[in-house]
Amino acid sequence: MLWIYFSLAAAFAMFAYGAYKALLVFPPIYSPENPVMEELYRNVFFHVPVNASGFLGFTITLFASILYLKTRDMKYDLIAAKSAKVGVFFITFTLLTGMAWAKPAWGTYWNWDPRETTALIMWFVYLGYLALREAIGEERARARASAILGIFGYTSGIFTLLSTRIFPSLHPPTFGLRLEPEMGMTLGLMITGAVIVFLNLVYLEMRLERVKRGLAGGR
Amino acid sequence: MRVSAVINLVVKDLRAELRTKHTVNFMLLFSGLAVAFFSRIAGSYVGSVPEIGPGLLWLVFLFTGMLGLGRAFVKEKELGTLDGLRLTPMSSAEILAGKAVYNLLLMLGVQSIIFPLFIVFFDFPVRGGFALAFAVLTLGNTCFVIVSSALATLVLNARARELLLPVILLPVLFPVIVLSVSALNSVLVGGEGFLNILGEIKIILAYAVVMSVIAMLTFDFALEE
Amino acid sequence: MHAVEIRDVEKCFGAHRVLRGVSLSVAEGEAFVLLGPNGAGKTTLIRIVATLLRQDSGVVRVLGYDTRREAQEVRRRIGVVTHNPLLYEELTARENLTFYARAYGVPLERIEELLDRVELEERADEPVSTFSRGMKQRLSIARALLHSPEVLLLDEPTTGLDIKGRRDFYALLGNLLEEGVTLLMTTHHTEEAERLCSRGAVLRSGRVVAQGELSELKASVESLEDAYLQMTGEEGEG
Repeated sequence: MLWIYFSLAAAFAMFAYGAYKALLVFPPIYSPENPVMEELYRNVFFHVPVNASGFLGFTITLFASILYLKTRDMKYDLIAAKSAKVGVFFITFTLLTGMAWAKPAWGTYWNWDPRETTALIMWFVYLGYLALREAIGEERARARASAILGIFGYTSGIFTLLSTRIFPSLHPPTFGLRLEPEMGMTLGLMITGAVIVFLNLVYLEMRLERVKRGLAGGR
Repeated sequence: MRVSAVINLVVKDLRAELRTKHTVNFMLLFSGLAVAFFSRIAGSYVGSVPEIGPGLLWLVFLFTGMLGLGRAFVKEKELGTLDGLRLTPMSSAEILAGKAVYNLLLMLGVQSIIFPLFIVFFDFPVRGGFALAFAVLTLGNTCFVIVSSALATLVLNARARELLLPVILLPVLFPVIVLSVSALNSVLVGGEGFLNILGEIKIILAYAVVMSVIAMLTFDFALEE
Repeated sequence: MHAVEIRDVEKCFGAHRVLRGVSLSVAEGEAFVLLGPNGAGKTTLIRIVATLLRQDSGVVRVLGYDTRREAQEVRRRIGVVTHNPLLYEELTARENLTFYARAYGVPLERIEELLDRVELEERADEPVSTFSRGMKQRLSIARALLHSPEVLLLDEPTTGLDIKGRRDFYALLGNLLEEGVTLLMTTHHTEEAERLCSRGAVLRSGRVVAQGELSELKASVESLEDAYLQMTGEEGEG
């Protein structure tokens, strides 16, 4: 358990340092056509890390689903389930920070920008995944059905990544964001912190599930 | 995959369905009702009908399909005949293909009655080719039946499966719906030709291929118990 | 080689352990009966042998083919009759058999032969929904025999049949046995099992509690039924 405390402490330190830099140190970016943007760009430092972690979560769900079908090891089913659950939680924050950005920058909270739209749909896909898990009682049947949906559902993730290339969008293309070196470093630090928090949450969720099962089995 | 095995399954399902017509009648009735309702509601804002028409038409297919297409598997599950299918040497890919083709025929049946009805009810000003629009609808519906046939098996062991299926199906289908509505709008409202909607058609086709591949690869597991 | 070989098979549904290390073997050409109270795991075991269900661990071989890895090979060689006849009610008897014959890749002439054998040729073109329980069960046998299986699995096949239906059914099974078909069946009716089967096993709570010649199983007591009740600890039900 000790390394959990260490890694979480490290992650929070990274996040706090990043937040300090992003909110208080970096200068406003000069933007003549949209003065609001001068301070608003700081949102990126929160929006991108939670988004990256959420995506990582769904990717883990994809691979764990494939591994489950190949090996039938219930461990992979547990990883897939918890990774999707925490992923949905993180993508919720992506959507919220996105809306907080959209209102001042583009005029409305929700614009049906392709990236926004596909991210929302992806969020629904994984909520559907969690709903499917809730609805199947027998654990092997649940593992099998949700693994298949975990593979099908990831197409929505791929669609989200490609959406800015397929449709004209307000978002910059994925992996196409250009920042000053120091800002890029800070963003990288915050992404790392968010990913560590994400992985710890998945791990704790898995432990919690095992403890619950142990209690139920011990009766 | 043996084509003869797929045809055999399709013939069996069509024969059983045409004898009772439970599902087909229900799908036609529901889609007819939906077109009438949408026409009355949207018709109050006459100016907007051309723009929203294709979207509404797709909604009708979507709801009709979601209520009707799941039956192909659910019925076999409820009657226990799914065991009979699984006991034959037919591969899962053949079973899935058979069900998807049967579902496509059902949707084509609904489509060929509802599409003209839609034009009449909405007094829809068709500017582009009627045949091209029909082809675009067919392509969209093909994607729809591939995904819905594959995902319908996932809810077979679930509680409240009728409620669950739309919830997992709709988001996965979303790209196809958006693209085919957009292509349909270009054809019906914009009067554009095949080359102008080629972009959408390519992506829908790519999507259909990807979904078919995933379905074929995972279907062995989906039919297991 | 054994017709059916079951080794250390375990199966859980959630926390409920339905089969706890079941091992038994059925020789080619013999009739083997699985006895046991409801919930002992008989149906689960038959479904695993029939490739309809996957065991969690252990190995099942049918005529040497592994049910998990060589399911298609197993399916070509087994016929399955359960209390659900696995027929389409809207279709006629002949249409049902035509569908299954094509699925198995069997020539259609075989259908007439089987309709004749189960004495349904006169009603062959009527929908199955108009059939009595006994007729459906006979048609179900015809369906299971289409591809001339070497092993026939029967799960409570006589449930819901009247005395005549039951007698005809067992006469048919007797003929099959003479033709060299291996039978593995479950039943509640011990006296019927006694008439047809030579060997058997008693399942209780997912374990085999006795296995061997039916004559040995009942050697120490008056009848097989008593032996059954004694071993399963069940009261009153036969």
